[in-house]
Amino acid sequence: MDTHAQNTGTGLDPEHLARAAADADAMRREIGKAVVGQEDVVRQVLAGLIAGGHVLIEGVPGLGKTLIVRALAKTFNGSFRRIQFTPDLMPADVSGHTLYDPSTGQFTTRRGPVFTHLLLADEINRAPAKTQAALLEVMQEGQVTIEGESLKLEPPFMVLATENPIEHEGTYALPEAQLDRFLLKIRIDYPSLEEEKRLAKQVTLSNVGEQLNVDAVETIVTPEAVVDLQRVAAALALDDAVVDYAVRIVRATRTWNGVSAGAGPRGCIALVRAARASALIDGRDHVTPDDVKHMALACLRHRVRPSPELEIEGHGADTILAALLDRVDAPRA
Amino acid sequence: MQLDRLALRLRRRRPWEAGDLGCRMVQTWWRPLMAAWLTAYVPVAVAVYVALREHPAVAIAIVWWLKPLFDRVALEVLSRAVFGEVLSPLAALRALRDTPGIVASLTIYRFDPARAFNLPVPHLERLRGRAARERSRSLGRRGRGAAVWSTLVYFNFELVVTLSFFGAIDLFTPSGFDRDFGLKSIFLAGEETPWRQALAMAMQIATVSLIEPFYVASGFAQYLNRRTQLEAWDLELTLRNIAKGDADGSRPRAIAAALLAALVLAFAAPREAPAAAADPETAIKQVMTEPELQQYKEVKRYRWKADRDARERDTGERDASGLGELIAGFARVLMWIAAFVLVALLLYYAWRYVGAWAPEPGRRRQAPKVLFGLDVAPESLPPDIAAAALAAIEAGRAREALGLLYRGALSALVNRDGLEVEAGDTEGDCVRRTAALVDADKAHAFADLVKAWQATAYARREPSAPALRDLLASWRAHFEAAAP
Repeated sequence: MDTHAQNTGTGLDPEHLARAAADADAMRREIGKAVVGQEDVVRQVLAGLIAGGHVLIEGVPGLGKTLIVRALAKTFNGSFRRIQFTPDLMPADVSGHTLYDPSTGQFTTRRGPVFTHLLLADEINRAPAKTQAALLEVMQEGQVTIEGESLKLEPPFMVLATENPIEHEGTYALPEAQLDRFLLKIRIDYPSLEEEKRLAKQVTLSNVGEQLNVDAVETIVTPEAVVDLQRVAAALALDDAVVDYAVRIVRATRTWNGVSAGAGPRGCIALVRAARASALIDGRDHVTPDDVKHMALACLRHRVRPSPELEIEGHGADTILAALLDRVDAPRA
Repeated sequence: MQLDRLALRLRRRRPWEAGDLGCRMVQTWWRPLMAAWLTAYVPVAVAVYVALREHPAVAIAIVWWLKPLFDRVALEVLSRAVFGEVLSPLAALRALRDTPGIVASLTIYRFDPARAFNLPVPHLERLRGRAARERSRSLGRRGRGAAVWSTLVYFNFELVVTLSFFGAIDLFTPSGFDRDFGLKSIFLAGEETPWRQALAMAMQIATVSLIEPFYVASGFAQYLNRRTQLEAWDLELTLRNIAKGDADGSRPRAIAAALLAALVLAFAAPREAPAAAADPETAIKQVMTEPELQQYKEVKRYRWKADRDARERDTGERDASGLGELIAGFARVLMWIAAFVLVALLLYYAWRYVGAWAPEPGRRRQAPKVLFGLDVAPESLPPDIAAAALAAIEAGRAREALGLLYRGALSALVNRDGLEVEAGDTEGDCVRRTAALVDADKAHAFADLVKAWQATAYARREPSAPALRDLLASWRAHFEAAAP
């Protein structure tokens, strides 16, 4: 924080802002106690939570996706559920259903696993379209309808869906329109040599089996505080030049050579939301072009479709976006 | 040669076009042709297959070996048909009795890659031995290449038809029955029952009977085309028609045709003497004594010794390796093209990347004049930046002071430390690049300055006067230029 800060005119009390920024930073450090390395991934997941969005995590199995989510849940004492998506999973298995109880002659509603703060939807592309759609509806509306009765989900609610990039046998790829509902698509990669050494030591030290350990993570905020973080992020100062930069990046994806389908307006909104969250995690009361640039890959990689000829050459969305970010002029303040 | 009785329209064709003409011949005269072919081929093939049914491979080889014999029957029919004469199968067979060079065509010339093209020389021109060889050479001078390729094409046709027959068996075998008599049986000898042998034999006979007549006809048509070129048959026919027109008294047409013929003659290729003339040697000697051919001129030029040695080794007896020579020539041309392209590419890349590996000192990238919409050219800044910034701070114009310091710092980094900034670089990217270029203190000072500038630009929050003075002090320490 700038020690010479005056009131910013964004309607935020500097103290309030400082507290929020400290909370966000503390959450990031707490998750880092359980998760070795993967700083970028942790940061992006946290940004997703603070921006009030949902994230799609792509990575091979066993890189600690579940661990990150459990650690995050523990930081704000949130509830955490995990659904393993399989081809026979039904929509009711996700949202819940009503049962007739013969002893009382009453219908009782059984709430599904979506009634939680953090929901890990493991391998979301293994379930058929209708089950995916049920979950995506919950993500969009923030409420579940069981037998005509709408039930609100308690905020903060965030879905972390995972996809395995190497296995496509027997999967149902998410259609573009549904991918668009995820705020971020995060790529999780293998740890570096040093990180992997630390990880091997940490997991095997006084720990029987391979049970993931989040004991070191301390609860520092409440779920209400997380909702407050989301509000603070939404109130940060945002200059027109920064919005303009985000919009120019998104618009460039539509005309960029080698992209067959670019990002829509939702991509633009997502980019600005994520940039706000990123600024808060950095402890700033304003959003800079750097925030936009840092979040651009995660925000846009699932919203652009590379042209077939580039895909054949082995260039993915990331390569294209990296080139695009180099060419879009940064703001001129 | 009674050219006017020829049932073909004579004109100069390309060899491939002539091959197509051969296919048309087969379509036109298929009745006599197939009758003669089947009469000659089927009994012999069946007899050999039946006699050697214990050794089917040997039987197939023998029947294949005898092909030139049957080809002569087909050729006989075609050569009569072009003069409008329909030959009965038996008459065609009788023609085999007094045709020369049968042994040669079944031994030395069995593997001649231009077999069908050369067949008319012994069979129709009745030449043998050396004469036949020379004649074939003079005909093959412009036409052998295409003839060799057609042999290859028809060989492949036969292969495809054979495979198709066996494949059809596989196709129509209901599932559940053994499939070892389809394509598999070509490569793996299966159980040989009589009916299977009979079927294989029938398919072999059908294949050859389907393809071979076309092959013979296409070779014959190419041969006719080559002779038309050599001996100007087409012109001869035109002139004869003119003569006939004269007799009929149709002057204008005759004059036009004569003019046309004269033109054609004027532009036609020099005519080679037909090697099949009555006594070519005396004719040639007679021609050579004419005064036009008695002019000699001595020409000297340098030549590779290797060429001379090769010519000495070359005894004049060329072997039948036309295809090999063709491929070798082709490969040589390709090699030269590749070498040329390679050299051109090397030159291009050398030109393009000259100095890329060893940048000379002093040949630095032109430093940009404008960054982030700010003018950072040294001449656009006041001579004493620190003094100007201090004056602005005193006057309470914080944004102007900070702008001066920021531009001064950027200008110093770009022009003195060689910082390179791309269009897409944000302030944060500049800070990161600077950290890699300069010492930690200076990088830190720049980072602080950028942070203050970002707060001013993006949060509309100007730093207080004391903070500005701190920034100015650190700016003086790190970015102030030495007195010029």
